[in-house]
Amino acid sequence: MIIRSLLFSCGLALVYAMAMGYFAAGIPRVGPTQHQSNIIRIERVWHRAKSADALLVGTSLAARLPDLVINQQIDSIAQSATGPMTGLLLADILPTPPRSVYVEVNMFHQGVDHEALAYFSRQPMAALREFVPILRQSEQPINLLISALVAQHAEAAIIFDPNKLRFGLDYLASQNQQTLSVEVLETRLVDFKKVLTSLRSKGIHIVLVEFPLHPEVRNSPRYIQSFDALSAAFPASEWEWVHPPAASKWEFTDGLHLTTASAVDFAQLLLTHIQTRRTSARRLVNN
Amino acid sequence: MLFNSFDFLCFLIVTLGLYYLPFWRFYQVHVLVAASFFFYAFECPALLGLLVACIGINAWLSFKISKLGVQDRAGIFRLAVCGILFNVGLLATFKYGPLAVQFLPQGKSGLTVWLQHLPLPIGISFYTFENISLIIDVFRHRRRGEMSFTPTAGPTHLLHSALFVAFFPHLVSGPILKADAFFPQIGPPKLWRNIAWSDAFKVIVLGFFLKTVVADNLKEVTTLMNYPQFIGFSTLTLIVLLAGYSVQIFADFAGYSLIAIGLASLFGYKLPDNFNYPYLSSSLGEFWRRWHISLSGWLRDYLYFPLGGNRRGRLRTYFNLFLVMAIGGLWHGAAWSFVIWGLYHGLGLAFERWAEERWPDLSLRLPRWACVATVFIFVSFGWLLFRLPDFGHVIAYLRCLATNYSLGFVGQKKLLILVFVFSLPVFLLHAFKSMAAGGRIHCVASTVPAWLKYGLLVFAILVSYGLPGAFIYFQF
Repeated sequence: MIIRSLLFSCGLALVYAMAMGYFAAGIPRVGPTQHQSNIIRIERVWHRAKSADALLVGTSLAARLPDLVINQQIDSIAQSATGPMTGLLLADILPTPPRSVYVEVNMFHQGVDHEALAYFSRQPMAALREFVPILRQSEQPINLLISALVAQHAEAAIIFDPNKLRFGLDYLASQNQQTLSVEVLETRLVDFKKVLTSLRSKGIHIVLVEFPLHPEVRNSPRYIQSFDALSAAFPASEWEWVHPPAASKWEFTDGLHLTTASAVDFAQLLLTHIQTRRTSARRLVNN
Repeated sequence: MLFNSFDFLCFLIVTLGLYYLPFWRFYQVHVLVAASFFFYAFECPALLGLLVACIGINAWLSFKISKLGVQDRAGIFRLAVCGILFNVGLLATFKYGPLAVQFLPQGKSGLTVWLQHLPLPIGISFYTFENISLIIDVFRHRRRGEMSFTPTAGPTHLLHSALFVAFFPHLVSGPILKADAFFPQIGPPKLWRNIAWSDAFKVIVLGFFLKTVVADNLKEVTTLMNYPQFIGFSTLTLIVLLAGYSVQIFADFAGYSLIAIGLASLFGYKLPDNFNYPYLSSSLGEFWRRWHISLSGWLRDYLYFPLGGNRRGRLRTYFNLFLVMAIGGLWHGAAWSFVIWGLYHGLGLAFERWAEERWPDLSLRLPRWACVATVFIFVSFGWLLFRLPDFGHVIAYLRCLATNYSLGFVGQKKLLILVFVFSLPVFLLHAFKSMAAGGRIHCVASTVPAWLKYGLLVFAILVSYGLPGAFIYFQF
């Protein structure tokens, strides 16, 4: 009975794999939940044959940058509801190490998604998924079904809504009045710096990116404290920074997240930065 | 070490290999005890010392009790009380120390700081109850003057006690064993050819299916129940989430228990069933005879009956029910929400008993499906206290449930699909059971060939596993 069951399940898996290759190749994969979307986003980068010039890690702020705009030059593993540390730790174990990592620092203090780390680092399943795609989250029947159902809405533009923005700002105002305790901030900062320094020692170029925030949020005690601490820990003389142009008129959905139009503008800014870096690096080599 | 990890698979293969080596046949118990200690120490070696010390002290006390003369009733009683107090004290210190800090005078006294920083040893609630079972079972046998089930030699008793408490399949999350049911199984060498491979395979596959496919996938959805995420959801969404969590907690714990039962059978031991289709219960009393059977059985045998059960009048019965359920709630964790959860069930049980006395034929007049649905709803609301340990968040959830009915279900379709798809197997499992009389949890529709059913389950595990998460009951 055991052998027959196992053979039957293997046969089913083979049929499923063939069906996936034939029918589902064109469906853009999205996860049914935020967490699974994060995992599928990482899987896309993880199993890609050729990596892009830069890797973007961060939170839902960075995840707003539309894939269609950045896809050719930036691999994004920015994840909603978890801090950039998760992305940095994953960047350290990516099968193809990135040449440069753009790190969204606005929410550097947010926690690590240990489940995601375990999913990509725990052997031998992680290695098995490389060769058996049906074992990946993106290929699961339920995820494919939901991807097929919501694919047309997945990339729908998020537009400016003043009422939503006011609601978001009011909520954030109450949240951001409190600063982090000095102990917590220092611990997070030390961990953050340790990972960044480790990546840099492996020859990976690190660029710290400050994403635009609504002035009411940026000037709240929580964010003033965070950015002051970051500036002190990562001085511009030692670390490369990208700051949003102060004069720009960014549009937000809630004070933290950019609307699609503004996200496209900010993505262009990052792409220009990558282009400039590449050109100057080429010039350096030629000289 | 998680059952659903590669580390555990390697550990299991090595342990099975050593266990059934022909020339080590008489050292099987030694192999299992050593493997169980390794299993326990794998994540946090420092806590192994506490487990070993606990086993040693209980083995010594129970051995002493078994060696006292039947006439020395006071001596037997004294030692049994010492044993129980030791175990309760241990549990109180490690598990309820941080809760007790609230009642200590404010300020950073040495005791407060010590209690606040005590680690919570994994599985302490389970192994403490098993140690109490050992003490009480030996005490009861001795007091009745019966032949004890414990071995005559001290070192052998210590070894058997270690296996009883630390046997790795049940060590961290049960089922909670009773000494007089487990000890007689230790003894004759177990043979490779006697392993019931098919039965073990079925139980383990169903357990993994419940855990990895049902519970781990539902976990992704029920994270939306965190405060303040649920505030913007409609009443319907909140109900769906709550139902999803009810299924998740069942699949998670029943899955673990089935894997534990299957693993134990590979080593020739039979662990008791822990779940018997609890969501088919038509009364709360029946629910507690079907849910976490080993815990409710333990509370019944070692607490409810000694308190007098239902033989000391109506008021005393209600008091006993409240007390036992409150302790049962507190057993789950050092938080007031667990006590309230226990009292909530105690209140339900007391009301049910009162209603049965007041209208004896009420249960016959009501359709069974209505009773089953009522119990499911009652129990599901209770799980809110598990999901949201902060009581204020529970109130907020209930308030949203009552007021957000005007909000639409727009944008929540994915959620509905997910909860439906991953809850369906559990509801089907219960439906099959209600159609087929008798049998245990893994005996589903008998007309389909077993290889087809279990082949489908293996396939589902391969292509639909959720992101691995720890078992919910590990925290208890």
